[in-house]
Amino acid sequence: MKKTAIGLCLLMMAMPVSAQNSNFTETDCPFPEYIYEFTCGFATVPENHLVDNGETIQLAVAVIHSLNPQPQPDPVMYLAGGPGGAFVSTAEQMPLSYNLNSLLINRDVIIVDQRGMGLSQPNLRCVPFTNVNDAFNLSIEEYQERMRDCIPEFEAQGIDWQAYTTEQNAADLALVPLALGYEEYNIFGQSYGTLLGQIMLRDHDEHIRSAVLDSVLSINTNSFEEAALNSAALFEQIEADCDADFLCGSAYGDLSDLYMETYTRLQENPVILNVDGIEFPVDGRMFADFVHINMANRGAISKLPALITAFAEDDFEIVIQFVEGINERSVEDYPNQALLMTMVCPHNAPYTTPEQIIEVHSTVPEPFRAASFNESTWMLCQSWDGVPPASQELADSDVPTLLLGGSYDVLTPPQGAYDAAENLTNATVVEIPYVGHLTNSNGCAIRMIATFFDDPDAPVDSSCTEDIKPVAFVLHTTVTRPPIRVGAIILGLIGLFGVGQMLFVGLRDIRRTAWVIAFKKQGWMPLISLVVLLLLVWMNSSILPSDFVTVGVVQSIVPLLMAIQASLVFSPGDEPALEVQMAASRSTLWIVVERLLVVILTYSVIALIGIGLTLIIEPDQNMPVLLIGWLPPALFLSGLATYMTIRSRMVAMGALTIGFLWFIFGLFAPYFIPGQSYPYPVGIIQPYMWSIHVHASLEDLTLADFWLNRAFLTGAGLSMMLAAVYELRDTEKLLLGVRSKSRTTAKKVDQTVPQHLKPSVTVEAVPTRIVPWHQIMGMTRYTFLMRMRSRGIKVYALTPLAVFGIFIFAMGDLSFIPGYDSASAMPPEQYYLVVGEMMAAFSAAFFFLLSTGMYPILVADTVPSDNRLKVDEMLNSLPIAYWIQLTGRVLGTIAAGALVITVIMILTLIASLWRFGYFSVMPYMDLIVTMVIAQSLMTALAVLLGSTQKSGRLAIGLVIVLTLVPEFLQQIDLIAFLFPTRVNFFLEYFEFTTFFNPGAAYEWTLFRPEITNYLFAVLLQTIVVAGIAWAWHSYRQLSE
Amino acid sequence: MINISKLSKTYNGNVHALQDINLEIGNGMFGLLGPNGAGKTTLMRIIAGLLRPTEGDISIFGNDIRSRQGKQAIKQSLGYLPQDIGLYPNLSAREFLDYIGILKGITDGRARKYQVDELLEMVRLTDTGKRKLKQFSGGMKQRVGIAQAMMGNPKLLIVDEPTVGLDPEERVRIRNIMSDMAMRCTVILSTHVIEDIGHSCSDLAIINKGEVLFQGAPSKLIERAEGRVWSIKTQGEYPDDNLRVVSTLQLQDGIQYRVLGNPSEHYNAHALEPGLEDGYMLMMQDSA
Repeated sequence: MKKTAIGLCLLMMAMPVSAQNSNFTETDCPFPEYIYEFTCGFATVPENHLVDNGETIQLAVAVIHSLNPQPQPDPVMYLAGGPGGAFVSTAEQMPLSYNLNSLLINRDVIIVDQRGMGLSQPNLRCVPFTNVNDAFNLSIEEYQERMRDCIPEFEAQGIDWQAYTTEQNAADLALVPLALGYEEYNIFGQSYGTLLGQIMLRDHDEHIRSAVLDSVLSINTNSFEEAALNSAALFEQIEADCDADFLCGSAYGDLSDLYMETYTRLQENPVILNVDGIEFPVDGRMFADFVHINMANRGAISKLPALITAFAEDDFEIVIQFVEGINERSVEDYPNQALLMTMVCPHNAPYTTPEQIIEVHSTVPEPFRAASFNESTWMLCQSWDGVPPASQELADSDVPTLLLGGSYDVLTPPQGAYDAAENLTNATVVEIPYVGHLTNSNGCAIRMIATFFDDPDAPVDSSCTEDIKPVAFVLHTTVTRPPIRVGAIILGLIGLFGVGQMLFVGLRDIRRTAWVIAFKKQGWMPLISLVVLLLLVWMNSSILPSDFVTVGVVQSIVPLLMAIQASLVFSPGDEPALEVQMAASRSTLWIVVERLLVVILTYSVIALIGIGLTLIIEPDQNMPVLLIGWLPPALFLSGLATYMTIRSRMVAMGALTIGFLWFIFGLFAPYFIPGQSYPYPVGIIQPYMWSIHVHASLEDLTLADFWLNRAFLTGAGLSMMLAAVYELRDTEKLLLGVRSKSRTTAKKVDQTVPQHLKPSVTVEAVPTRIVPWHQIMGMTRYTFLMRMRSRGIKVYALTPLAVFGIFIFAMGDLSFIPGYDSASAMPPEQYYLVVGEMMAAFSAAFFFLLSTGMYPILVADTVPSDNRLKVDEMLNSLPIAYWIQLTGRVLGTIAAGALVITVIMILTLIASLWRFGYFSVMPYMDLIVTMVIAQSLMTALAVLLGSTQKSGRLAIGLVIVLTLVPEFLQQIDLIAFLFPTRVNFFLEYFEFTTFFNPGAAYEWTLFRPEITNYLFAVLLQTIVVAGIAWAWHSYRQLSE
Repeated sequence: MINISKLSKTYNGNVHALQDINLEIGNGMFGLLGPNGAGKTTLMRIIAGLLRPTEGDISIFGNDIRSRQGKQAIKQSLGYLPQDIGLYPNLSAREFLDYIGILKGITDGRARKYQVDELLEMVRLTDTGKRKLKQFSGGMKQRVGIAQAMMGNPKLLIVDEPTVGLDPEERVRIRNIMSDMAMRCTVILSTHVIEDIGHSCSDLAIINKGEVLFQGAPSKLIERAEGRVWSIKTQGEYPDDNLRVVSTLQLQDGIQYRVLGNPSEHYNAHALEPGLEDGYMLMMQDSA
């Protein structure tokens, strides 16, 4: 058998492989060009290289051209893994998703859809699975039968299916670069691509300048025998690494014991899950499969102890997600089994027998055997016969070759690289610690590969592998629960102390509590809240974004409403009789205490009404969760809101902070759910974040953890309320806003009465003329000036600047953070493009939230504040019309906001130029202009709307409602048109920023349909509100 | 010339703030006296065009306050200092005056700057013109208020209780600025501090409970008190009920009172020269 195979190979080698055997036809690329320039087309090659003048087949090819105008003459051909990895149709994403940017600095990269796959013709496809259950539970016989059914179909199409072997594949690929006109080339193979690469090195190495084989499957590896051994060995390794890690070692007990016990338990008593109507059994083998597939990369391995613990605790969330994920896929996306039959099986299956496999596996614990290649999977290879066994002869070549293997790779362990290198005379093997399958996900490997291609003959410097940091294991809630419990107890005690103290003082002084005034001060908000809540409960899931529905309307909405009310409770700047109240013998703290209590009581009543309606509509509810589940997040957000308002002296700040947080918790809910893997340093805090997740639901957490989360929120909320109350103790700070103003050295003013009391100066008459535009300009100028000097705009400008600053600095180098894994960090070229895009997305996201949400809220009280400052009376005596005043206000406020956006965007632009070398200005201009327009309209809307209110708070409240409510009403067509949501706007914007393209020409299309719709709607709203403002003013004048 | 005839103002809820006011205000300084709540501020606000009268007519320099054009013309020649002036805390005095200048229609930037300089000099704030208004003391703020009212060289200056809450020095200073203003334009000064009106007013009116009790020159008001101001001395007992005590002075041999009215013989009273305050007090007493 072996002899025949060698014979075949010799024959093939005798075949002259030259450009004459193939040609290349250029076509349009099947994807939008992105960053790089591309050449696409088809290479024609013989279907069977052993036959002269036989049938030909078409291989889809895409060349990604280097950004360097004078690239090196030798390209890199990418040998995709799989088999089945076909990327020509999405080649524009390859530089980012397969980390090829470093190679593209100096060289073109050739992407080929190997024979039988992707866009290449013909397509050899055979999938025996029809649904998700099949993929796991199909019997061997059924599998074989369905696979065999494909063969007549292939033959009917005239496909010589037996020719789709790795050897033939390698012969194709050796022709492609020559057909493209390159004389010499490099190869970069990954996973199955390394098998292909080895055969190319063995049989067709004449034109190969150098080779990189990453995650090597050696030609002589017998996976059926070795996979289970590898799996067991790696598990042992991971367990040892976990023990060596302080956090993981102390958090988890004996992992392999837990694994074996859970395996046995599930094997004996499988759990049947019902996912979207599909019955899905979870037995021991399924569990072993999950463990096995999670041992192939660094991120998954970091979650492995948590995963095993979850199964041990009967927490099958990951299985549910997996099944849902597969179920959403169409059958077309299921892995093609045909290529396995012709390209992989011939290298393995003929060289072993089931008996031999069982014998080798006798020492391996059962779970590892069950999940890996074993005697049963060997049977699958027997589905097709007719493909001759492939030669196991190792590659022998003197082409400079770099072989990489990740120590955390269960699929192709580093041993494969050593095996493959045996007969390569010019090879270097580098083992990369703590990295899984496809090592070029790690910066160290990327740098080595790029350096190697630039000078393959130089000795490989693998020193960076020594600096790669071990994996930070994800902590399961069993681990994070105790510290959170302690935190909840401490915060709870602080909160109880606060409540106790308040009650003590309160009961002593009960008759001095101004309940009625505190109640009246809430104004119309509770009523509006009640209406909003009942409306939302009534409309329920058709209106609310699905993220919030899981926790129920009452639980998601009441906290927000109550917190907005709490942010209005007390702000030193807005308190009319502040000095008088402070001078009163009753402690100042009581102002906040009594009002907060009233707010809590009022909203409890509102929540109860909402709960009542919920029960009428859907009687089937978890009563304790429904009844009091809303209160802890409400206390938490209210505490924060009260504290922020008092601290910043601005109602808007408190309301904004909690509004923002509430949305963040909603939008980034997965981040707050435990069991996620995040890079350092986020990964250290993230496991604890579920403690403050306000939208936590029973789907995210177990019942006990849910109540712990609620307890923590309650404690934290009460503590923050206490902190807010204590802010009032410093009366000087309360009154003046600052502790002491002595820093600003006040100039000594001459206060002496002048010698001659009669002033001698005379005021000369100056002609005055009322020119509307002149007044508008003046009004605009000074509104702008005052806005720029206000505290709000500083907060507004500094928040994004701070975030951006960190963001931009963090780009290349996080090494200033102790413990940062700089060896693994991607090289800059790998992410300047990614980051360019991220920056666009990030800045768009940030600014759409801020500019169309935050700034308008901050400035909504521009006109009412005149009333508070007592300038309105004087202004009204001036000879200018109200519309001039209003226009000037609007324009000045807009100008200030626009300036801030523009400055921040330009700083971002400069920073990105500095960090990443180049950046296309045009898309940025596009972004700036769009955002300035959007913000301007929203600002105009806010100022005009605010002008219809006498109090700044009401104005702010109104604008918040206008900003938030549309987000929930997006399902109703007419409302969605009139009140387009900012979130949708952002998402639509984001869609075209993915075409953000620093390398290629950018088309200036400012008024995109999706944007104009939004802008038009806001313009419409602004005009309506301007009319309302005018009517309101006239009415007020009349009523005086 | 300002003519006010049959002016009434009724607020919501049937509060009669002003009833049938008839006034003629000429050039120079016109003092508007009256106790708190008499309707002074309402009258000032109506003249300034901030409130509209319920009934009656006002013509100011020939402009009718009820017509749009008339109101606009009045506003163009008006300087107004409200009772409770607020200033933008984040602006400097110079910026604030410049701002008001623009709004008042001084289109020429250089002229505006010149006027701001002059006015700051006039109210003696030149040195502090660049400091933020939030750092100003009450008196300084009031002076900025006067300066803003003077921006654009108004023909009519309405000043509502400008000296409230100020120390004597500031009060003197502001009074002097006022009388200086009165040389160039009509100034309507509302106050309940009689000294404010003292020397500089050529004409004054006293209103109480929304009605005009008196209009005329200060000397006329003093005349009315002629022969009704007396000085008496007692050994501690308080003067009779029919006497209105204006001031008290502790002496070594008893207590000396300045009283209004007709003291009986046994007080051994001797007549005194009446002052403005005496006239005002008698007026209020008579109307009560």
